[in-house]
Amino acid sequence: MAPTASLFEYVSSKLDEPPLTPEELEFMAEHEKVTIVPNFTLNLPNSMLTCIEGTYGPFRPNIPVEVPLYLALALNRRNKCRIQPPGWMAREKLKAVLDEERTIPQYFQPVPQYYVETAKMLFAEARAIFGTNAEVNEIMDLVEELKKVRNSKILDGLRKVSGPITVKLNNLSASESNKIRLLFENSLNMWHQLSKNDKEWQEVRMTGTTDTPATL
Amino acid sequence: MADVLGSLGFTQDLPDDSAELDDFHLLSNALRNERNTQDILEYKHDLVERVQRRLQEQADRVDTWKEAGKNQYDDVDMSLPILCSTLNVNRFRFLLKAYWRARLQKIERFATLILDKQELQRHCSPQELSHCLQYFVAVGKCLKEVVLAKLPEEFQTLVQESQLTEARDMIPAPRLDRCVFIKLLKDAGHVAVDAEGTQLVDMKAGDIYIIQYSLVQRLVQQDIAVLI
Repeated sequence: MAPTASLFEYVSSKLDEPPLTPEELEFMAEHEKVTIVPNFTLNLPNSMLTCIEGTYGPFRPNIPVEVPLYLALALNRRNKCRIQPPGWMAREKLKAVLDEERTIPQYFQPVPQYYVETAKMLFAEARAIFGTNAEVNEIMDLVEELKKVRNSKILDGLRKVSGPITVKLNNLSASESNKIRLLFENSLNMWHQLSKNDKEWQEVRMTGTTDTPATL
Repeated sequence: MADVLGSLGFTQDLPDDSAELDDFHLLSNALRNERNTQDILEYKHDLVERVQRRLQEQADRVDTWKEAGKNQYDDVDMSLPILCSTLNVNRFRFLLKAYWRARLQKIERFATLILDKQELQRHCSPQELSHCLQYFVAVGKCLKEVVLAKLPEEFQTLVQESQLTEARDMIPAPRLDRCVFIKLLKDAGHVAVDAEGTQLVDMKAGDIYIIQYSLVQRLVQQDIAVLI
């Protein structure tokens, strides 16, 4: 039964908006780890940086170190480090994933949860780490292609939904689930509601009363 | 009752794989859970306290560095540590505030329900409860003056449709049968995926499902799964 609309709920309810905005996803993506090669030491004990969630370091010139993406980008802006491209963004890796993604239509290939956001930020701020212009463009095209192939797979999946079911979508990335969230959730909610109505209606018919059951 | 809950909490040891998740991930998972369901989830006392304490320590550290930079005129350059730590502090402040805001928004929406149900009050922090009460009094007074006072007497209550009915039938409740995106953090074993419990699915860590929230409520509350 839907709860009775109350004045209280009316006052404080907002229009349906996506639970997480793309900007917030980007914020979370900025905590993914990347490897940088610093060219400085910190004036701190052992050159270690203490952060709220843990410690990073030691920062020594030419020694690779793992840091969150936002630190890497901030340091890169000041020419304090060189970012190493993440493993999955290597040309061969991307090509292999793209091939698999095309040939196996049933599954999604495992990609980092925030691959769209990470790629976007790295392309915007640190193009140089991928090599020459031609190489950067090739990698951008590959990522773009990967996004398209996955997107068409998602749309195919959406078309197959035809009842109140539980859907399994392994390896779906954060931005992809955000993109289909409202459509998918609401259509499934509607299916569930319809099947519930149907069940009530059947029951009523069994017992023989003529009352029509509650509709939506 | 609080004691029972407390001892239950102690017997449940933290599993090993959650040690990999740092506080940022724990807090952002909490935020995702809050945003993605209308259910009033338990307030993460320990996590928030820990983050607040470290936040203060980190902010103090930045302050001492800045002071040191002003007083000494030697070559110690602290600009990089200050930059990194400030970024870190600001990001955690944002996350913490987002978490509180998400909770308060829900608490305002379901203020009447929380005040009506003891077990939901245990899910809120003392500050949230006092806000809930103040909000209810303030908005309730406003609604009474603006609308309800002009209605016939039997319709003037806030929580009942009319005074003729005994039950409090005007209390909004969270819709727990909505579909949500869920990601398993650990193996959850066999979980029923329909309301009758006839269909079971073996849920493994890393799996993503779109499923009705009420079927996986237990998994989310025990941090076995996160809503994405």
